[in-house]
Amino acid sequence: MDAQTVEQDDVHKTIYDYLVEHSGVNVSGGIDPEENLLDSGILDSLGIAEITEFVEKTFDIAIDEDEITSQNYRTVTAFTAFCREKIAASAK
Amino acid sequence: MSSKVKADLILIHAPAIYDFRNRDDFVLGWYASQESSNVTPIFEMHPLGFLSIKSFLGERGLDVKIVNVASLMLKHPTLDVEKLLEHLEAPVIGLDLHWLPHCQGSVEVAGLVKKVHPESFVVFGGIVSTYYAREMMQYPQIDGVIRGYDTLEPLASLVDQAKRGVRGRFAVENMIYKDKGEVIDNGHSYTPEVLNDVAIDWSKMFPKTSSLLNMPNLMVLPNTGCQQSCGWCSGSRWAYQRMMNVEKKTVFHRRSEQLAREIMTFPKTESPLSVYTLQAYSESSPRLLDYLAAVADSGVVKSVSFEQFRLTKISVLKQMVEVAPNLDIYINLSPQSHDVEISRLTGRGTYTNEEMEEWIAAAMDIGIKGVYLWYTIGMPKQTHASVMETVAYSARLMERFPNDKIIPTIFGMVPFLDPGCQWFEEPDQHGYTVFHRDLESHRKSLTQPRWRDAMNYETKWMKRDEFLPSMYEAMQVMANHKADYGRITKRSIDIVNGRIDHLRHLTTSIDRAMDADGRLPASLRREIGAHNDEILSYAADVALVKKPLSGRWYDDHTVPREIIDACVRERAAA
Ligand code: B12
Ligand code: SF4
Repeated sequence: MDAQTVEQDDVHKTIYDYLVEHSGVNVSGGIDPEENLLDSGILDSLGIAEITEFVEKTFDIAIDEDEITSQNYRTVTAFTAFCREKIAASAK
Repeated sequence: MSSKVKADLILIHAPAIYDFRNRDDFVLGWYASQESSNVTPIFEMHPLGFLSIKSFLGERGLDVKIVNVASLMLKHPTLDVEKLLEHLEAPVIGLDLHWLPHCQGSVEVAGLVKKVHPESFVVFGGIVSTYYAREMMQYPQIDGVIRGYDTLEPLASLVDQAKRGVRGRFAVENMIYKDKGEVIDNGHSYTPEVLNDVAIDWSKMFPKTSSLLNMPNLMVLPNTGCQQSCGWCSGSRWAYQRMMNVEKKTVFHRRSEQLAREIMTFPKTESPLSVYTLQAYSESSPRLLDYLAAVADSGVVKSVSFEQFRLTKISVLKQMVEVAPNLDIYINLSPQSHDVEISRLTGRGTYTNEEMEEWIAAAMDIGIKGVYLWYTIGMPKQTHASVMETVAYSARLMERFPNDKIIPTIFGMVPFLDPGCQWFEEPDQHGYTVFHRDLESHRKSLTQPRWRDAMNYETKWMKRDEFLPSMYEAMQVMANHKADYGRITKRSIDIVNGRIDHLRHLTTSIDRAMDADGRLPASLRREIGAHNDEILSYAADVALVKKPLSGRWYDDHTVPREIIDACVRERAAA
């Protein structure tokens, strides 16, 4: 996917689909955009490293170790917003 | 020159192999993955004892600094180690040779230390140093070895004397050393009842980063030695009785007060803190429960894991969950084989698979968060077929507990059988053959191109050549079962399969090339070099996901940035 042409909604959908497919716990009922991904176990330590690598490759962005914070990775909404910012910054 | 790191004692942790950088003549990490700790194949974790030594000598007014050379070399690949060592200054410089995989690296780094600091007293310690103390006197760079499971008093005494200018005839218990070339053995009389009687200060061990990748993980060691006598373990009752100058009592506990003090220093971290409680199988239930309650009360810990030798009584499990309702409790069991006969021969086998399964079901009902099961390759009567049967059993187990965190792991006892353990000392009686006995042959073996030359043993049931193929097959099939039962993700399994296939390809290509004409072709060396570079950026767990090589408690907290910069720059300029 070309980073510059990622539509806003695509970012959300890509992340959401990835989480549903790779979650460490059963999320067959879907994931609430405000659900805490860390507390619920949807993202464990391995999952965090993997989703980071995934969005870096998919959106052609670089995420710094210090940006992998609970603030940015807390919910689907927060993580989508964070990725959008990175995509916007790398498009400049 | 930029500033110096000065102390009364500097403790150095060396990489397992020096210099592991730019090596393309052997494969790094063919044996590293044990999933038990977040380290690379150069084993950059130093003994917990370094922290005990720092606290204990600190309380005596002696300044101790820990320099983790292994971790610094990983983090700064162009670091000039000799230059770095020039920036250190202490009358006594200590290195650990605690784990045998460090036998090559620690002695080499000691050589560099001696070269740049001929006046400093270079002292070694740790379990393997205790076993090889006398042989270690042959190396000109090693001045002394302090033996024992606890060296706090002797080391304090050595540093105090050296600080006062004493350079020979040291009154230091447990030390064997050289005085103007003469080897003097002070014996092994210091065997304290209480282990490491001091509290480690964990408060500043984790950086103030909020990165979720820096999952802070610390370890508590409430005792050393063991009541059990597993034949393959140099920490066993049998081995301690022969190595540590102890008789009836072979487990040495720390005082509960010190554990409580230590827990009080646990820091509040951004990501949840987890605590790995080592050797918990030698703790009584009341002590374990007190400990757990104190950890829960600290309010900063999310998960605790324990090792248990027997199946913990259900009533105790209930109490564990009751005293620490807010903690995720994980239990480690090590049956070693699904075959109870083999399990018994390893010193385990105190329960059958059926009993274990019933126990797991009850533990899950009570609220234990997960159970890790450890299986090992290299045990008596164990054939490759038996190994694969263990893997198949593990799959059945995961099938039986589809939604629970039951995580089986299998790994080879490679490359070494512990010097000092019963089977190393009495190999014939137990069906073992030992190939390397002394330290020097172990040292040489680790940098041989062929992996089998590093193996120091084989069994009547599995020959040296069989170990690696068996281990790779078992690990790979196990990992695929784990993916099938949702224990690891689909992406992880692709990484694992790729990694093991590649290791298999490299190790067999090396064997073939060496068999053909005793040398490695340039193209193969390039492949090995690329593999080694890559693997060093991974932690050793089977998923091999990139994790930061910093922020762990054992990473270096001492050497200031300006010294690092000077050493990296100076080398680049040279
Ligand atoms: C706890 C433990 C661990 C913990 C380590 C925690 C830590 N950082 O110390 C974990 C689980 C991480 C671990 C990992 C490994 N371990 Co381990 N571990 C043990 C265990 C269970 C207890 C060790 C113990 O009692 N330590 C307490 C005392 C003895 O040490 P201490 O307090 O840290 O330090 C004191 C003395 O040793 C001494 N000392 C230590 N360093 C120095 C340095 C100087 C200069 C001086 C003077 C003194 C000194 O003074 C200290 C203070 O009193 C033993 C089994 C056993 N029952 O002994 C296996 C054991 C030591 N481990 C073993 C192995 C093989 C490993 C690994 C290499 C396994 C692997 N392949 O991954 C890794 C190495 C990791 C690394 N370095 O990166 C083997 C060692 C065998 C051998 N001959 O090499 C043992 C015997 C178990 C076994 N048979 O498999 N291990
Ligand atoms: S392997 Fe056996 S002997 Fe060694 S520490 Fe563990 S239980 Fe004790």
